[in-house]
Amino acid sequence: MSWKYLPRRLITTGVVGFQDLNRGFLSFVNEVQGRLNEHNWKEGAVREEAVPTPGAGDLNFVSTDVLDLDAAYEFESTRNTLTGASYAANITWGGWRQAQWNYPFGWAGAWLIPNTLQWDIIGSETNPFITSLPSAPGDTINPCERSFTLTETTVVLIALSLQGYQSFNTMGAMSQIQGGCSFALEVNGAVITESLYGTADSSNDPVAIENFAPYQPMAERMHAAPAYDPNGVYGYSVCVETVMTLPPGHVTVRGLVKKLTTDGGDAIIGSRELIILKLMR
Amino acid sequence: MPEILFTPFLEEEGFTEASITDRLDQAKAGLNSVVQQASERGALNENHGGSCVVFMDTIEQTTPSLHQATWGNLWEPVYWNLTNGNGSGDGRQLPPPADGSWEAIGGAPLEINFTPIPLLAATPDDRFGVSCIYVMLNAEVRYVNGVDHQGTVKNVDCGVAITVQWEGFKDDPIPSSQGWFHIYQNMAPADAAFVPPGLVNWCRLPERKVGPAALQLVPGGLNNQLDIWHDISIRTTIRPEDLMRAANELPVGPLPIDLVGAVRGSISLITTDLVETTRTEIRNANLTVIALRGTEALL
Repeated sequence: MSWKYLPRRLITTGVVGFQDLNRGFLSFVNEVQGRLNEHNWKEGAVREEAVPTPGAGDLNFVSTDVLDLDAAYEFESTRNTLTGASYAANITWGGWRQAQWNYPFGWAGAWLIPNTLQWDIIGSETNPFITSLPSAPGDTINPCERSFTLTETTVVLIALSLQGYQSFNTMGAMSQIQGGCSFALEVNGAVITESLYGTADSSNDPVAIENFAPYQPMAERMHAAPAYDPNGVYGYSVCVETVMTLPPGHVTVRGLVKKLTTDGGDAIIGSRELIILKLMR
Repeated sequence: MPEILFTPFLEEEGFTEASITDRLDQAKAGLNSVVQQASERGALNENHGGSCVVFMDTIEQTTPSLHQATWGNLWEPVYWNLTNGNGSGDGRQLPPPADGSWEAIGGAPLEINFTPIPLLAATPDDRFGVSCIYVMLNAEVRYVNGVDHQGTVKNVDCGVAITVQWEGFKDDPIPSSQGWFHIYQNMAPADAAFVPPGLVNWCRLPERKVGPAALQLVPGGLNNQLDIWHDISIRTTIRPEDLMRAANELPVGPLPIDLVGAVRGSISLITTDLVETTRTEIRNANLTVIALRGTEALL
């Protein structure tokens, strides 16, 4: 705690002694030499200074030694090449990921959604898998998952943006309808309801109907879980997101997908980015 | 630790105006020159820093915009490069500079400009700067159609690619634009030595594609339009490593990209044949940019 008053104050009839004066100045000097705390800085003290301007970038930073670690937002990086929850992968014509010899080094290709009819972690795959990356049996690549620890109650923004693809099959060719996929975010083992996307709703309508075909939303045709883009070659995009207030403790965020039928063709996920921003403390 | 030179009063020293003024001046000098190390850990918290949002803006396109790629005009926004050494027309991205032509979505560009700011990677000693720009882009793709130019029936595969691009600046010291850049996956180390484009792994992280299969074009004009009616939503971040990688993207070599000064939603038409005109309509779109500062997880 910083001092607020001198240890000895001058009074009208008091005798001024050099030791008392020195003690008063010493308290002040000690504070300025290393004991300034949050009470010594007014509200908004670094607000302006922390706004970056061209040519003065370094001046706009505050040392870790001074800053409370929970002072502002914190970014959870997910782009690590081998283990990051985010991953860039091409979906090529026809959707199918290519064998490794068709990729430059480092591209593992798109990810095939398993026919499990249950929630799967996006990108989680155990060797052997099609990749040009060095790997050993039992290795997994790029599960869409990120864990971190919160020291206090925190508002967290979570967003998952990805490229999906549902391949053409005979049933789809006949009716333009086939089984689709659902997507969701999972936080600490619980699927976040507001992040659910891709069921029998209009957001899951086909996207490649030729103009002579009647355009009618899938949901209105009462077809559950239709596929995106049953005739398409390049697929569709998905974005699920949520803002949550999380208590202190360990947190695990996952991106999930569920293939809803096994009658369709291959369902694939290409590039995907999981964003986690711890916004306010 | 900082050191303040302060001369204490001595027992035999008299209290004079000059001696007291001297000590007050010494204290004043120490206070005026207070250094970073003078503060305890945690001396600055959220109350001193204000909002973590340094800058935020949203732009919206409310009227449909037409985007067109015409035969022969390679500078128009088209993914001409659908072939590589493994075959033709498979729709994959190629490394820059052969990664297609892009333009801003919208009649008026769906673009947000701001005072160029540095994105600096967090280190144990430097924090609380802007190290992330969060971008939200939504665009509704209405259709893809085509016009035949050859007088013959033609089957092509068409689609639309949408992504987020940022404008990089060199700070020397007046910011000068170095062009628009993509956001790539971290396949190569961000600080890797310069490698000519095409020899490292470049795959755009926030690129999203939507599109139909065969579009049959017959002579005589616009025909066989393919309805899409699909929203493309993208969430992504612009990070310090993107600036470092952008330096390698420049064909002339690793020029430093110090600042980010604009963000836009970009579009490129996909076609598997070079002889047709392809078109798409973006019914509406919106772009939001949020520059955030804060503490940082290093990984």
